[in-house]
Amino acid sequence: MKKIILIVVMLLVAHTTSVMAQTDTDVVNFTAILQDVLNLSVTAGQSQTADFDEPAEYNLGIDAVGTTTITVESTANWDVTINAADFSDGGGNIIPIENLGVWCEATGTHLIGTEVDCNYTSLAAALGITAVDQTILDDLGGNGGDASDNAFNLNWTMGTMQGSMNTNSIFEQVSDGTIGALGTYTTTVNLTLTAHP
Amino acid sequence: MFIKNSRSVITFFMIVILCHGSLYAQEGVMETHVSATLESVLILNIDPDIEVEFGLVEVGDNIYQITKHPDDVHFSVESTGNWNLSISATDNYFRSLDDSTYKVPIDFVGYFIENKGTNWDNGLFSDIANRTKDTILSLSPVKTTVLINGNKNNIGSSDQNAFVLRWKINFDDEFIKMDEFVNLKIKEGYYKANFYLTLAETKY
Repeated sequence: MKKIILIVVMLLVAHTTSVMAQTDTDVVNFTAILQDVLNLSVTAGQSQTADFDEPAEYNLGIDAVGTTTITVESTANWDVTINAADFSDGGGNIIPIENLGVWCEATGTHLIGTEVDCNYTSLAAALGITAVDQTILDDLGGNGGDASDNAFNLNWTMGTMQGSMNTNSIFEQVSDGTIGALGTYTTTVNLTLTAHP
Repeated sequence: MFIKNSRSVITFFMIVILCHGSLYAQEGVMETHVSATLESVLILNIDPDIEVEFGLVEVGDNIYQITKHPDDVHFSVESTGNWNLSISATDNYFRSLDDSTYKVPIDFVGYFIENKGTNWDNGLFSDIANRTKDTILSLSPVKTTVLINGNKNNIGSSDQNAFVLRWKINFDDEFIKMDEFVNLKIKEGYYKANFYLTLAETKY
């Protein structure tokens, strides 16, 4: 009897030991998918107005029409292009779009000349808008980032004949009939953000 | 998440999709709306204190010499529409600076306008029709239109519409008028008169 009890005890001990010695492996797999983010936001100044009511404005243009502020959020490097149709009064008269100019300032942590490329950083170097897309902001040293990285001012000017803008004054264009009538003209400027592959 | 018994492999797939940006990826274009208003401008640039003044002395019996010729008047027009310009004297006479009872008829002085701008003043088929281009008009209290727009229009800036109003003593070199001059029995001295330049927009 003692032998039987001893054997049972030994079996129990052995079983317990074997249970404690086993391990179980559970696996938790995480898959994080980082998809492309590409977001252009106009944060202020979406509508701009230029009022020509003095000879000096007809002769020399309006240096500072206003400022549109934009931000770019992008996981990839990116560029922004710009285009617009001619101003129209809705009655068949137009103001050539090259009379509208724009120049850039960086207000985020990404700087023009470091991360971002822009050839139009002063009034004197203003980009004359055309109906065909022109690149206004581009990648230079890696410009992917969030809105705090990529914040910019687009400063509008009109009739100033700067940079690649129309070289004739508004007065000359009214005089030679290019601009057929006085009144209010409108256009829509398109800003296109594109991620680089 | 689910858990099998102790021998099975528990697979837990947790997919974190950072995809909120992808919603915007299709909207790469933003718009800015720009309007430009061209308002009417019609401005005459001229010294407001300008006068017509001349001086003369009697150097002999009924023989006079002009000692002061009226100054030229520079002016310009800035206009977004076609325009015309008229001249008129404010009085029928020049009056002596020393004694206003001494007076000389206003047509004692004539004028013509010389174009200095880039708008062409060669008649109705050019930018400006200048009535004084080939003639001298006598100053008169009656408003006289001297510059009007031609077929090519005279819209423009002060660079395009720049002029000099030049005066000419009508009795200087015309023998017949010299007789009239003598008959006027003018006292020597300085005389002046004021005049208006009237700028108006034309509707054609």
